[in-house]
Amino acid sequence: MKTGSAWISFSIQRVALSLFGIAVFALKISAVETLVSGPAVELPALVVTEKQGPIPWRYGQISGLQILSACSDYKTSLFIDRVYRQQQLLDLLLPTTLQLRTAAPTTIIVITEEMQRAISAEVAEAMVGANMSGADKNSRTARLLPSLMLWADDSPVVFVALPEDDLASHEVEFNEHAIRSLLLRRTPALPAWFIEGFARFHGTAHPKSANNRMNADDWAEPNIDQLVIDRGAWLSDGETEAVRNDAEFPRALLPLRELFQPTLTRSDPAETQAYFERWASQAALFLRWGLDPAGGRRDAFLRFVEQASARAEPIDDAWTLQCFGQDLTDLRDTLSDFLHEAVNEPRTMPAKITGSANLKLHAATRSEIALTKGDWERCEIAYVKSKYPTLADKYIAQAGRTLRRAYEQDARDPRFLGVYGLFEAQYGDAAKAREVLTAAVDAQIVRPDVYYTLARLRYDEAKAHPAALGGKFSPRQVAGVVAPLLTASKQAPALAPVFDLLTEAWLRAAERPSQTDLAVLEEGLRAFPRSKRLLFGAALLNGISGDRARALLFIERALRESPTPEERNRLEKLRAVLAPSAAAARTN
Amino acid sequence: MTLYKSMPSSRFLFRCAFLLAWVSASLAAEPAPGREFVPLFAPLRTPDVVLAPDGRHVAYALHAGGSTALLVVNVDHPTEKTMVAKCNDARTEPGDAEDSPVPLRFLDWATANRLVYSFAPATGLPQQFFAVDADGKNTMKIIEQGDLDYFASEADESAPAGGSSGSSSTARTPRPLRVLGFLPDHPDELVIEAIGELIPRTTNVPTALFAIGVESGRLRPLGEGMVDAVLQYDQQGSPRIAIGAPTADSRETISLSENPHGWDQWIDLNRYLGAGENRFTLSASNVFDRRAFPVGFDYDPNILYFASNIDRDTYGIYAFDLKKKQRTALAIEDVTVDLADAAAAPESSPLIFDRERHTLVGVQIAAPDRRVKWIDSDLREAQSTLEEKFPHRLVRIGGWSTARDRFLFSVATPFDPGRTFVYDRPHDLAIEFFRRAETHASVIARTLAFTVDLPSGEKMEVWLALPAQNKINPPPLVVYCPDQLTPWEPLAPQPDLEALAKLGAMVARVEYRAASGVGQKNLASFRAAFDRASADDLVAAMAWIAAHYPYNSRRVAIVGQGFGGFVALRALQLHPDAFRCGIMIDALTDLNAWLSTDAKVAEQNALNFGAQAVTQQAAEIAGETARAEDRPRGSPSAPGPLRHGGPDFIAAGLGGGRVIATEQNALHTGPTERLSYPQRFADNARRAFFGVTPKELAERSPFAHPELVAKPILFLQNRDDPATAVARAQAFSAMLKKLGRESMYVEVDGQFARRLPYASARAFAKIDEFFNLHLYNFRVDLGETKEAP
Repeated sequence: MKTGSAWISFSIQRVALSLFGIAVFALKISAVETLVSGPAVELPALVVTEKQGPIPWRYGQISGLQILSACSDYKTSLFIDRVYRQQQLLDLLLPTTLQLRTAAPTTIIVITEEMQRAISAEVAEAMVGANMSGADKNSRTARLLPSLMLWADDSPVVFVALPEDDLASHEVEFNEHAIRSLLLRRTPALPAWFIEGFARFHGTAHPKSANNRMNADDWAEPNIDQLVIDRGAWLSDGETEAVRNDAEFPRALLPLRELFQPTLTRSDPAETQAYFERWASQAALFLRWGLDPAGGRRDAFLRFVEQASARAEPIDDAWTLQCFGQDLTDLRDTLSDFLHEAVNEPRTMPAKITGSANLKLHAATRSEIALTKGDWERCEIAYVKSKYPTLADKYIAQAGRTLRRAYEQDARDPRFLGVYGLFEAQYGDAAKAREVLTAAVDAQIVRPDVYYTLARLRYDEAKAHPAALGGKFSPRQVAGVVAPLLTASKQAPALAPVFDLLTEAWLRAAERPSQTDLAVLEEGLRAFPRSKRLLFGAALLNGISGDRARALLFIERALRESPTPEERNRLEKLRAVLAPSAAAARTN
Repeated sequence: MTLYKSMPSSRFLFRCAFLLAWVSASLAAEPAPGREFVPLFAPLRTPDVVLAPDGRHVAYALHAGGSTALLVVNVDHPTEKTMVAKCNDARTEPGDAEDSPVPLRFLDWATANRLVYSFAPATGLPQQFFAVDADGKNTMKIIEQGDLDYFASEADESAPAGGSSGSSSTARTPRPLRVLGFLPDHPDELVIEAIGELIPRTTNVPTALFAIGVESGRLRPLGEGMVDAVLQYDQQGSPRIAIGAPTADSRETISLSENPHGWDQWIDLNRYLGAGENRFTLSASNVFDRRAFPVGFDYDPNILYFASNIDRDTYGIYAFDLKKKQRTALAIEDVTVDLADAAAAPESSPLIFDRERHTLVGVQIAAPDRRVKWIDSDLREAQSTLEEKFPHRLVRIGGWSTARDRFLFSVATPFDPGRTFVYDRPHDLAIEFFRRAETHASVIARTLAFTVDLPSGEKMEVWLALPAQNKINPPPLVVYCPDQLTPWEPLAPQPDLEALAKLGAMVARVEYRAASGVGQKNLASFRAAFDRASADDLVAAMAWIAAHYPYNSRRVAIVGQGFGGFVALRALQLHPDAFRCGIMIDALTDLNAWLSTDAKVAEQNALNFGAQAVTQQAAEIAGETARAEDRPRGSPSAPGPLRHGGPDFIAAGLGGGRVIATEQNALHTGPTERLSYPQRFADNARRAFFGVTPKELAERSPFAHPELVAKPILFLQNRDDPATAVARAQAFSAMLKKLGRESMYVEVDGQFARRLPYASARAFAKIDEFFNLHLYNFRVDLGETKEAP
């Protein structure tokens, strides 16, 4: 295994990303996913009172990852090693430039199946205590997910129950949901066809060792030198078989324009489903073609994807001609011709997947437990609120207990303060939130959501008590809001609300923003090139700053993003105000 | 035996192995010339395809592995595929050294479950028609050409108005057949016209119409008559228009049958309609001028559709109500293109009807891309939907189901016949069924079609193919001048262009002025200066290409075929600095020779088409009224019928010219190409069009100015062309050599004219050789040797 700082910083990124897959890891690992059959209320695990006595939590960090585990060090390490290797596999298929970057570490909480069963009982209890309808009580049975990934705004938190038997007998794989989740949050946003296509394509790739497919046992001593990409699929098993056997079996591929800009809804749900399946199958076919190790077009394809995510314009003939030497219709034909090969011929490519993650665990401190558990419980609240609002209070109370108790017990780790501050800002005391978030920011923690939340609190306060004339913010108020936002804008992942709030703050400022200020918005637009809100804000600010021609460009871009009638109206009004001046400026 | 005995077995085996290795090594060392070009000239894989009226089945011909299979596939369950017939490739012309696919002469669904087909018969064998169910069962030969032969007794011959019933004691005369389609009221009956002949002092054979049951094979005579004309039938199967065969100098007469059921009551159409003497009249002088001609009947037998460009630039489609003897309000017009092909065979029609709804739905445009102008709004919408799905492509609807929930259509580019699809309208899905030809992506990287604005204000189409592999960068340019006076099927493969691209050159096919189908103004500007104008068009196209797709301007070759050869030679003479070399394929070198019909032509036709043609030609040359058949020409430069375009897509006749989607294979000819105008008439029409004196024609002929040709030329000449054409090309090459110019003369045969794979490959091996010498050569001019100081 390589060592050294350069590698470590690279590794941070890779390991952080690995965790997206863990949400489905448990489903692959054993049959514990369903404790009971039938309809179930899917609730996130509550790591609660530890009624059976204190849990001997172990804590460890490797690059980009913090782990809180209730399992043995051996089992935890074994699991993390597998995740680490899966991440390497992912990196082989997809350059890191197209993956999500998170500056904050990803949190993973590992428990045993036994603990999971106990928690299950607690959750059932919680449900009984909650004000659920009779129908819900009778028709649904509580079921815990064996693993779940929830998202803080800037990083994922993962909860997983490991099986009691030997982990070496289980294969770890990221599944489609995990891959989608990973790709969905990348900025600039990846195109939908790429996300869906890659999620499916990724599932067909497997490591291969010594001329054979990897067996689960091989994971203990990996000697992986090849990646095998299984034969592809098309629509259904029956269709796949038919195309496999007959190169000329009729096939309906969507025009590429439709692949890139699908209209997924149909009046009939069955039609919608069928259309989606066709679209997704074709997306996977396109990915397979683009990344085909034998095709020699991988670099061009990846450049195309990168451009497609960065550019606001729809993909057209000129674009694909430039990238692939084919217009959209030719490309459709090419895919059609490739289909028979795709469903018939597996591919192999050289691969080097190595070593373990070298995770070192130690007894978790109070801060470490509160930091990880507290963040998990905080994230659970939003999840439960969206699905079962009547249960949300219990989750809020639980998170509050975990975080406040630790704070009262003098936990002052800045990372913990960040999590605690986020909780208080969302569900508790704003003043307390401001206090602890300020402390976290002063300690320069790496977590963009912390900076954004502090800025939001300051903005709300400034809005309530504007210090300049005409309800405007004073320079001091603006600086108080903008400073943490500028820090947040430099941390990954890019958060759209950061740039929205910057826009709002400058719009309320007594003084015009400088060109340097506006350059930050350009950065935001690179990350969110199709954000109508940001485009509108950028148009307004450029208009105010006197660059009306530039403002008009942003308006045109916003108008291309299918605005609602109300949005269109606003945009056109602004254009009407700006247009004459812009025309005059061009003349001059 | 002695040798074997004296040699140990192991040594013998070794020697055998050595010999085998030597033989194979020798073969490998000397491959057949141009073998790499062979795949480019492979025939279409799926030349014919038809959709069943209920949209549930597609029948198609698939050429693979040396045979053509006729298959039926279930659209809903495509794994259900049945082969209903198979026909092995064969030598289609005497003297051929290689097999060709046997084309389907007819393929269409009579009903949702019954398919009728007929392969082209081998030489000397009768044409046969079969019917088969969609599941491949109940195959039945429903008719054979001999069943429709004319039987005449001794008495009949002296009184030629007799019927067709014959007996064992009568003489038997075969009649060519023309399929008209299915009767609207009896869709299970196929209607076939058996074409008679009236040749003075020889024989009189009536033309007759028959209905054949597709389930039973029962033959039902529908009528017959002694008609010396091409007949147009109404939708009920009655002969209504008789287009008399024009002689060389006389006018064509167009007659109307007032009696919908009669074969013998004809009246001059102009006189009947009071339409003015010249409206429905064809003469050699107005073929390319202003006139009107009938194009078909509506399902209402009183409505006659006709095409006219009188008082306008392009041909529009109009209608007469024959009962009221006045024009209806119908006017289908397009200001940019002709909606009818004035030079097409008289029995063809641009009209497209819906045979289920009994309505006119569209008109086939005569311009080169053969689009359809849909009148039916539903079909127009379908066309628009499909064009949205396949932008920048030629999308052609070739059939539709009765409920219009399924459409058969093809998507092509100018260089690629593309693919055939079924559009499932309720699900908005275009289901791809076949690729019509093998793709040659390794040869052509990309094709483009664009319009160049000419200085004269006109527009010109140019198709450009970018090579997949260059030999040098930027690549050379080959300007390809097609034979604009012969039809071009843009959906057919363009193997010549692909082969040229394979040589590493950009290939531009330039639709220089001369193309019919785009109105009188365009033709007039061509006519005014047909040599210089066309040559200037080429230069304009080159300038446009240079501005958009850089090529090596010092390495430009020009290739011309037939009349395109004339244009290419004139371009070499008029713009000598623009080109590095030229290739002339069956090039027209001498306009006077081209516009003359003499005994040599008749002799050539006799060689090509047999004694009967000699008789006809002789009679025609003698000035007698006789119909002379023009067969498709062996080579574009051979004197041929006066046509541009052709009924390759629309079958006229019963069923109202329904789209039958038997898209023409460039390698075979459709049934409706059999009839055309006589040779002398065609020549006179050309002479009338070009309208200059023999002296002026000579002035404009490349043949008269060999001294103006400064660049190397390769002549590829079909030895089966008329002797005059061969002699002119040969003489021209000799004259160039005498002048010290580089010229190669290579004779090819009719197999190359028909672009059979191996013959074509041999020809392109020569072209390859010529290009290596004259297009790619990097000549280094060394100065005098100087000593270094």
